[in-house]
Amino acid sequence: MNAIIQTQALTKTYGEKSKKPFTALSNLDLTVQEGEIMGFLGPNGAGKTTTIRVLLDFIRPTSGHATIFGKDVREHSVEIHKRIGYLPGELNLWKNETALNTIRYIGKMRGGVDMNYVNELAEQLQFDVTKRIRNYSTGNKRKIGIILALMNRPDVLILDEPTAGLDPLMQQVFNKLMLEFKAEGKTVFLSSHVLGEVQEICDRVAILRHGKLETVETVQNLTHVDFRWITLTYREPVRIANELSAVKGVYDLSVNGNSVKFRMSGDFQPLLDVATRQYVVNMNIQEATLEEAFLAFYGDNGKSNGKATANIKKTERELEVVS
Amino acid sequence: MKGIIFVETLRRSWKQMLYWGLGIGTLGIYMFSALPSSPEGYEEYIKVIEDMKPGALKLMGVSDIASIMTPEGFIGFAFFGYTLLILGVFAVIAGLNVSAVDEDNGSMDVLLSLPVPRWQVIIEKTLAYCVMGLVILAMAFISLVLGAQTAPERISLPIEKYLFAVMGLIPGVVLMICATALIATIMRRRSTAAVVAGTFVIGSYLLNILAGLTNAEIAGQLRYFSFFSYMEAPTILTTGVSFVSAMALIFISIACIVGAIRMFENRDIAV
Repeated sequence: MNAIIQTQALTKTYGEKSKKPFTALSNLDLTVQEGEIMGFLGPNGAGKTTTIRVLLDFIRPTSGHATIFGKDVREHSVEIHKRIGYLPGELNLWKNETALNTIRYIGKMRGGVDMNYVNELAEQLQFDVTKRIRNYSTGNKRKIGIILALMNRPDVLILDEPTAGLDPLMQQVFNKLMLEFKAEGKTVFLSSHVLGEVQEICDRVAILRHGKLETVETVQNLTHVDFRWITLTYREPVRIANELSAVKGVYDLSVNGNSVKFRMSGDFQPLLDVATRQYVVNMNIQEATLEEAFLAFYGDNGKSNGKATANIKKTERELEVVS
Repeated sequence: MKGIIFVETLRRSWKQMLYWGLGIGTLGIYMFSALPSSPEGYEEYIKVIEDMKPGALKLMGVSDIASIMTPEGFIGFAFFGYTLLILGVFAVIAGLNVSAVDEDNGSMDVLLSLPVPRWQVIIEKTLAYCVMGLVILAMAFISLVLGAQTAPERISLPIEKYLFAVMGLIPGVVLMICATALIATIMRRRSTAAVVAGTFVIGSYLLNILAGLTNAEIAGQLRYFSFFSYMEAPTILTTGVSFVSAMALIFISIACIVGAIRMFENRDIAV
């Protein structure tokens, strides 16, 4: 496979001449292969957008360099941009224009646009192109961004938090579009701060924190980092806390009256077998934030010990059942 | 793809262009209607001017009283003197639209993610706003011709005089657009750029007037740092504008745009 996007020791420091320079990105070495969907994960302020802005030549690196299609992103920006679809994290278009005019304008700049394909995309995303940009909701603005990024059938998509503001149904449509795009042998590089979101479509995930690349993992290797917060509400006070805490994959269990809350990773069946020994009134499942998953995986210092379960085991030892 | 940004900028701004043109055109027609219509009325006008203190007239941008005592002088002073200042407001807004507005609201990211070099964005947008300035001036010219038709007994000048006088405003307008575009690429933020560019235009106007108030040689020389000084409004209809001054302003405008491109090419785009 070819390397489509490559960064070497990419560093970006803001305010170099000021008293308090800020390094947003530090020695980033990253490779995105042809035909893969790579997720670029990190908490807010990790340096994801900075990386993307360097790749698109909006900002210039302090040191190091980046290439796309083997070409330097600064020297060959126009050539590279012909083959890229981009969705910014905060999409700001010309508010008084209609979506259709915007699509036509950007289409012309890209050398023409297939309106049949645009209509097809708009239909899939249930998007009305006739309104003025200022009248669209956040979710709809995201949809026009996705259409603008895809409409010229680029070879590479660079998407900054593409699903932010999309409802779950539209997230599924977006995932489908990405998988179709990948099926054509094309490449996607997308940033997110939601782990569960990228797990559904990405082949590999790069995790960034404080401007430094912590790890690049395949999604399969990352699944054991993932966990959910589960709250079970029983009709009567919880009597089975000890049994629940003994279930494989259950951590950090706490009881509060009729409710029990814990972290859960792995399969659900063993949990359900135990949990239903009492009458369950409600079950709430909440995705862990990236920060929570990240802490479980790397600990506070951000250094991976190579064993994803190490911190979880530690937590298990410290398990405290409050009743 | 060359020319698309240029055409799109004009398409989006045609209404503003029309409003500016109609506004200045209305001012032009109004000035003709304000011309004294009888010899008695004219004598009264001359008496008012003569009674005014020279300092007050200089504050209004008149260095030679005799120059505004003719109908041509009156139109030149009342219309051209203020039109360049009004066009200064237009030019600052236009210059900010070259890069600062898009950069400030984030749409520059979308534009620069397309296969278009940064210099092309600056060139095409600047040209589009200069064309808008020309259309506004063309509307001003039409208004002067129409205005003159309404008062043939009060003023009779060949059409070329109006044309050359209006053309004389072009270098000043182009300079203000280009200088603002340069300031905007240096400052990045629209609000900061607007303040600096506004100060440049108003400062230039005030420098021209204040330097005319004193007889000191140094003040007279300082006046030439103001781009307003190249045009004597009261005499513009009769003597036109110096070709050398106009060329100097165009040359400075080109230098500003080259500077703007260099700045924009070599810096980070604001988030």
